[in-house]
This record gives sequence, C-alpha cells and structure tokens, in this order.
Amino acid sequence: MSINGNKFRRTIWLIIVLLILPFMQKNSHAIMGEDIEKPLPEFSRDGDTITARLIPRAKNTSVVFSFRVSGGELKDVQGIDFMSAKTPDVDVKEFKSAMFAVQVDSLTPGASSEIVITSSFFNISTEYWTYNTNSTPKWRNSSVNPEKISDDGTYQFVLQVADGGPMDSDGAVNGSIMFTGGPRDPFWSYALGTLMIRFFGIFLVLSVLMIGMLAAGKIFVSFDRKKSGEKPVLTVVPSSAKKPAAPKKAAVSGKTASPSPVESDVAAAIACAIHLSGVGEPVPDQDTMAAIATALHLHLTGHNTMNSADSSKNAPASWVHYGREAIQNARLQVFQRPVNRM
Amino acid sequence: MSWEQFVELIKNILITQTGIPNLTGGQALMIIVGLIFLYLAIAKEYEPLLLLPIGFGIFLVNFPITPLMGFTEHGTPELIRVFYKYGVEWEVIPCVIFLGLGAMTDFGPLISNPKVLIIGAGAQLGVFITYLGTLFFGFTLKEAASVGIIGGADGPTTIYLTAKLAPHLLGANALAAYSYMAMVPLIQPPIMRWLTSPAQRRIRMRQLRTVSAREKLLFPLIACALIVLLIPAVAPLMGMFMFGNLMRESGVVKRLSDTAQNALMNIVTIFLGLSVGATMKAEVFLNWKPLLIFGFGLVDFVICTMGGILTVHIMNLFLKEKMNPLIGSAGVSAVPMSARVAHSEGLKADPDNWLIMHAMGPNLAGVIGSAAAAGMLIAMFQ
Repeated sequence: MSINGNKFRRTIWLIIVLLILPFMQKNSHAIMGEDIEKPLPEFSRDGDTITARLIPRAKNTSVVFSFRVSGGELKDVQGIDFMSAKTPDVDVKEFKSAMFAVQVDSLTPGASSEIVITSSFFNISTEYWTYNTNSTPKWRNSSVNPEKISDDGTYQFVLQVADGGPMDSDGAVNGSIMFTGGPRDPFWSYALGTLMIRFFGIFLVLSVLMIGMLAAGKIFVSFDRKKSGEKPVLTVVPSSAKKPAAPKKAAVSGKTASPSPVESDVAAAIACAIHLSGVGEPVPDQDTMAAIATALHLHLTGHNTMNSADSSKNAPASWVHYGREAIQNARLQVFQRPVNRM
Repeated sequence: MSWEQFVELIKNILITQTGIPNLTGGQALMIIVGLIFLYLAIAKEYEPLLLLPIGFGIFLVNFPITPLMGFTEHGTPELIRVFYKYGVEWEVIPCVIFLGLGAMTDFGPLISNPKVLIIGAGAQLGVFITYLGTLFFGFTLKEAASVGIIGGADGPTTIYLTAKLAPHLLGANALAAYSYMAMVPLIQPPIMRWLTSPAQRRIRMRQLRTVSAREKLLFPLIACALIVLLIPAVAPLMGMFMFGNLMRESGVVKRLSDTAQNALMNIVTIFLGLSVGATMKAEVFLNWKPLLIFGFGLVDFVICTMGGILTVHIMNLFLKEKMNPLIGSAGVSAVPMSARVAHSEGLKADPDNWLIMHAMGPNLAGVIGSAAAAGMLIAMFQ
C-alpha cells in the first residue's frame, strides 16, 4: 500500500483504540433515562403448566417460557423486575428476559422438586442463575446446562430444588419452595460476535450483488456486441442524406463486428490516407498521419457540427456554408499537397 | 358575578387555557433549539428541506398544552400525532421516500463498475464501531444499533431503523443524521487528505463503460432479488427503492415516476420533518442521550468515511487499475453530496481529474450498504 506510513499507523491505532475502549471501562454506565425495554411477562396456565409470554430485551418478537414441576404442585409463577434484585456483581444487560419467582407447594417438608423450564429463547450458552437474599452472594449460577429437546432450537433447564436448600429463597423447610432466578446470556460476547458476523455479512451480501452484476454486465456487453455485429457492413452514404450516428466501439476496433456506415467525406479522408500510405513505408509521414487523423476525427465525431446544422434547418445559415467551405478547403490542401518522401 | 368570582375565573382561564403560566424552562430551551435549526436551515441552507420542517416541529410542539402530539380523551390522536402514527410508527414515510429516491437514481455509474459495491460495505465500518461504543456508554442493544446507523448518512434508513428499534431516540437520531449529512463538505475533506497522499489523489480512473437501457432496466429486479433473498428484513426499504428505479428505467410510467420523484416526495418530506421534530418534546429530549448521540454520530461519520477510503486502499492492493482513494469517502450515502466532495478534492489535486461519475458508484453502493446494514440490525432483533 502506498499510503503514507505514519498516517496509516495512526489510523490503525485510532481504530484499535476505538475498538478496545468499550472493554477498558466495562462497568461504567452513563446517566440514562427510563428502562423502556423492561420485559413485561404475561402468564397463563394450562393444566399443570404455566407459560409466560414476553418480549425480551434486544428483541422485537415475543418468546414463551413454560414452567412445570415434578414433585409438589406448581402454584404460581410471577415476573420480577431485575432492577429490584440488582447487585454490583451482576450486569442487568445479561438478563434479557424477566426474572421469575416460581412457587411450588404441597411438598413433604425437606423434599425436593424438579422444576422444568422450557423455551426456544434458550441456547447452548444460556445459564440459569438463582437469586436468594438469604445467601452470599445473592446471585449464583445454578450450574445446570440446558438440554436441547427439539430440532427447532428448544432447550430446557431441569433444576433440582430442595425445600429449605440454597435455591429455595424462602429459606425455610416448610413444604413449600420459592425458586427465584432467570436465564443469563453473556452480553458482550453476544454483542461482539453478532457485530462481526453482521459487518462481514454486509461484505458478503454486497459481494454477491457485485458478482451478479459483473456476470450480468458481461452478458449484456457481449449481447450488445453481437447486436451491433448484425448491422449492415461498410456503406458509403452522402453526409447530407443521413442523421449523425454515434460511433460504435466494435466498428473502431474492427475485430469481428462489421463497420458502421461511413459517410462520404470520411470515406474520402480514409481513401486519402490509404493513398498516401500506399508506398509501403514502415513509418507514415506527417501528411499521411494528418489524413488518418482527419478521417478518424470525422468518423468519431460523426460530423456533429455540420450535421446538427443541417438537420436543424432546411436552409443552412451562412456561417454553416462558410465553415463547410473552410473545412473542404483544408481537406483539399491535404489532397493537393505533393507527396514528400524523404 | 362578584369581583372575587371574576378574578377566580380569569385565574382559571390563565392557568388552564393559556400557555404562559405552563411554560417550563425546558420547553423554552427546546423552542430555542428549534429556532437554531430554523436558522441553520434558512440562513445557512443546511439540508433545508428536512431541517426546516424539523425545526418548526420542535418549535411548535414545545409550547405548553398544545393539542398536537397527544391523544384526545376519546383516544383520537392529535394532528401531528396522526402524521407520526401513520407515517413514522407504521414505517410508511421512510419507505415512500425510498420509492422517490429510487425514481431519482441513475444506477449507471454503479452498474458500469460493480467493484465499488465493496466500498459501500467498507464504509459501514463506523456503524458497527459506534454500536459498540454506545453500548459501553449504557445504551441498550436496540438503541446502540439505531445510533450506529447514523454513520450510514442515510436519513430515511436512520428514521426507519430508529422508529423500529428505539422510537424514543427518533428526533435525536434524525437530527444528527441530517445535520452531519449537511456538514459533509466540512467533515470529510480533512479525513480524505489525512488518509491519502497527493499522488494517490491524482490517480486517474478509466472512463466508465456505457450502460445500455436494457441493463439499467433489469438492474432493479436483479439487485432486489439478490438483496431481499439474503436479507429479507430489508425488503420494505429495498423493495420500494428498486420499484421506484424500475418505474424510472422502464420509461413507460413517466407520470408515476415523476410523481414519486417530486410531488409524493415533497408531501412525505413535509410530514416526516414535522413528525420527527414533534418527537422532541422537552420532557423526552432533555437528557444526556441526545448529546451522546450527537457526539457518537460525528465519530460514526468520521469512521465511515475512513472505512470507505481504507477499503479503496486495500482494494488497490489487488487491482491492476488503481482506484482513486478519494472516491472511498463517497461510500457513506449522503447522495450526491459526498460524491461532489470527492470530486472537488480530486480537482484540487489535479484540475483535469473528473471523479464525479466514479464517485457516484460508491455513493450509490453506500445507499445499498446502509440499507443492508439496517436490515442486518433489524434481523438481529427478530
């Protein structure tokens, strides 16, 4: 890269600093307004199962959590605001759904209950954290891994909670369990991961579009070439009898396509050039070059000046006559000049 | 009626039916903010088509007890709330603006040099870096995404994404986006000169090939199909954009194309500007977030410009025919302002180097790139 070395280094450093800045002060928070993304779960009961429907943080679509128990009776499930259980060691951003309080009754005192929480919102890296005001620290990882139960990405947590145990937040052996907690997903790794995927995703999308356009462009160019090749071959027509035609690339290159019609004065200039160069010298002289240049100029410009004047009016203005005469005289001089072969 | 009753009545009228006693300091401040934007639009001509209605929206809605952005007792939305609800909240206006933009756009420079699409992708660098930066400052994921898109320098895309993800930031994001778009000639040139050497600025690019009418006609169909297949979330924006362009290139619906470019575009711009301005009520707007958004918006814009130029430098490592890195700055959308800036910077280095058509390619790629970035961010929250 020929970019100035210092400038380039400075740029790279700036980008690196901007990239690492977020990680240097991970726990700082700005003064922000109200929490508008707070999940607000709605509960419904269907037999022994209670379901909660809510829109989690960083989502626009709702998700469903199902709660059922094995051992005891699932009495109630309630949603709790994470902010009410916020502690300095926990980042609320990592708890994208609500916190749930699951109440299980009708247990033999001291017995255990199996609480099963199912959702398609869980993934392989989701952890279920429990909250207990009677323990230190208050927030703990349940250390239970989610199990995938269907191919559509539904996972479930199966949590063994003992009456009066560390995950029973009422803290008493009373035949009832209050299990409080919620699913936790790593925030920064998600944010960074999705950032990288999506940034390169844009490159991918636009690259696919670029490849499509390059391919389509080649097809169109070859199609246009073929089409221009179907036109009639070299035909000399009087310049006054036809409209100015745009120069055709294929005609100029003269590869496979037939040349476009050539006007009489262009043809005359070409003839002059052929005549002058007819002696077979390797390097054409100045007159030959002038004639070739005139021919090319007339051909490529399509006589715009003269023809536009012709086509705009039936009777050309006096300046058109004057100009045409001057051009013709100039050409005549080329024709009449003695061939100077040195 | 006794004198006391008369005084009481007057007092009641003054308190409940006039604005003066209800005017708060915050509202007065926002009225001044509105006047500043009106000044910028009228006197300085900074994006006047948008900043004038936005400025007036801010000015008008911050007068106390005005029946403009609320709901009546029967739940009927008030005047500007109607514009906002059906235009912005329902995501109609940004898409209609894209329809008009499509009808105005000649994709010729992009079709003739599709490689510049990569520049449009590289110029989205700021969108993602800002997204991270705002997260660090306590913004939520949705807010961060909506702030990040400001760097794409595409007003309708910013409004569309913000209305979808963080509607409470709509005013600040739209204002930041349009303000920085107006300031492209001030922001971009120093970065362009910093990241390029004089020799690089003098690089001449080969004349673009002629694009046939048939190719232009098929482009919106091909591009729409590919992009919508890959990012379905961007279908509303991209679909309208390409539909507008198809109307233009087909040549058979000149009246519709003309309406989309002019009358329809002007109508929705009025409603959009007023609605966006009216979201900036003092009680919603006056906190740290708008200030941070303006700060991050500028950083975002700078990084996007840098991203575009650096992408050209990287591409030049692999290309036989080098590109002038100045055109990389046009990878942020801001059509056609950023292309003009690239062109004028090129002319300063070489008075015979006409870059405008070469810069239009990345400029259009930037529009597609920012819409694609918006689609990616929307899809992230589905």
